[in-house]
Amino acid sequence: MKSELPGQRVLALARRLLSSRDVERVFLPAVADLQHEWLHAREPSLRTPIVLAAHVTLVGLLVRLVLSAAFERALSTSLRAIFFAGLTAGIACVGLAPSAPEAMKRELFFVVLGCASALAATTTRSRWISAAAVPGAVGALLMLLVVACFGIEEGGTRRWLSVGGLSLHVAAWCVAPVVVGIAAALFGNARRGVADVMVVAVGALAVATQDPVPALQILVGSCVAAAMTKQLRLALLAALAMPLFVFAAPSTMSAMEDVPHVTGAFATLAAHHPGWAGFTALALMATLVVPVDSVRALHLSRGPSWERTAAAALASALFVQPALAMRFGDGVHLVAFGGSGVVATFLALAVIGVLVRDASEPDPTVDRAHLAPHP
Amino acid sequence: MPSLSLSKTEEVILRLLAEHGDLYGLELVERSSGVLKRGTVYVTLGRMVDKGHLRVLAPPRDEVTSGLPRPRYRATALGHRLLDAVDVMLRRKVVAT
Repeated sequence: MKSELPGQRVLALARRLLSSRDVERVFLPAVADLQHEWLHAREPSLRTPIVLAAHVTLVGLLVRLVLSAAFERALSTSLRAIFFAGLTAGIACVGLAPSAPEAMKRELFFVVLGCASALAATTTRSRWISAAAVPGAVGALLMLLVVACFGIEEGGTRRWLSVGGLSLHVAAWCVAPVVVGIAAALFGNARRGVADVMVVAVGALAVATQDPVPALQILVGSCVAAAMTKQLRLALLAALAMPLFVFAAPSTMSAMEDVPHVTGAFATLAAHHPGWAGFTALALMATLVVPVDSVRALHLSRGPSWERTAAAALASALFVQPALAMRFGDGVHLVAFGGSGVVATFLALAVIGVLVRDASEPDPTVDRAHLAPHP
Repeated sequence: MPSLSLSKTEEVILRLLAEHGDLYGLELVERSSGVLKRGTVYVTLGRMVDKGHLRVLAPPRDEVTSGLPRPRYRATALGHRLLDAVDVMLRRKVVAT
């Protein structure tokens, strides 16, 4: 008869959303008091108002605890993101000098949007990311397929989709979902073949869209994830494919010179600011801070985990763009190669933050009491 | 981790427990004359347990109920001493004025 008692459904929901500590310490006593009140109501007719009033309280309590936990999670992962955001926004603000061109204002808009998105993303948990990883990667590959078929063709390549008046560089958005999806697939024994298919699909789509840099990022991330999970065949496949995209990158970058929304920001910043090299160095440093710090944090944590694999793979993927920029003297990362891609980069950094946090600290919502050794 | 900080609401809870002995969360709300709210008392109680001011007591073995077991709360020695310290400070304040 226990299932008929009031509060059981809200309690089940709380167990899904809250840490076991919050459930035991805060939520369970509240439900127990409700059930006691309901069982000992003076008259049966009083039970309905008791349940209604108590449920309003319980739902309010649940919302409060969920928000409070989300805030704590964000606080524990946002320091890196805030540092990165501040540095990047500072670089973007340089472009807002009195002579600032419109392109720079556009960049700042995306930086602000990226910061907000990243901070919101840090409230998630690694197990949510894990659950969404493979479907997210498949969705991202389908989007790349849409670009290959229906994308806007500019500079001899087909990389953009027109969304609400904006040219969306879809591949930039696909790097994180595909890398994380491949890491998740590699970690589940039953889905390792899925990772192979994804890597081959990425290569094929990159050739179709003439967009080698995001493909290279995905290959580097896949190679790291495969090596960490001892999938040497896939690691070798990704490593062998990399040079093709490295050599293809400069030629497609030079092809982009005629595309105004790619080179516009780069050219105007270079024209307006003599300290161009300094900005480049700052932007590259900003891009590298989070991955370097994450790898350091991962090195400190112990034991294999999905979080470690995915975070290391994604951090490695993020190294690629600044590394290429340094090698080929390309524009400032996040400024010249900015636009909506900035938001995707910020989200990737937030995902790394969440993964590193959850790799270092056990998920409080997972009941680990049964893992304790028996006395 | 034990803490020596005490908010007004926490003080009310400690006073009620000192006066009435072990109480359930709902009983604390009922006896506080509106000072404690049902929506917040459990969060405060959980925090006080973390701070070492309260201890959670398991339900008595002979308690027959078909609902979830209701935890009762008891002030710890630290909780009692904090309350004593607050009383001493209040007395000093009254004498000073």
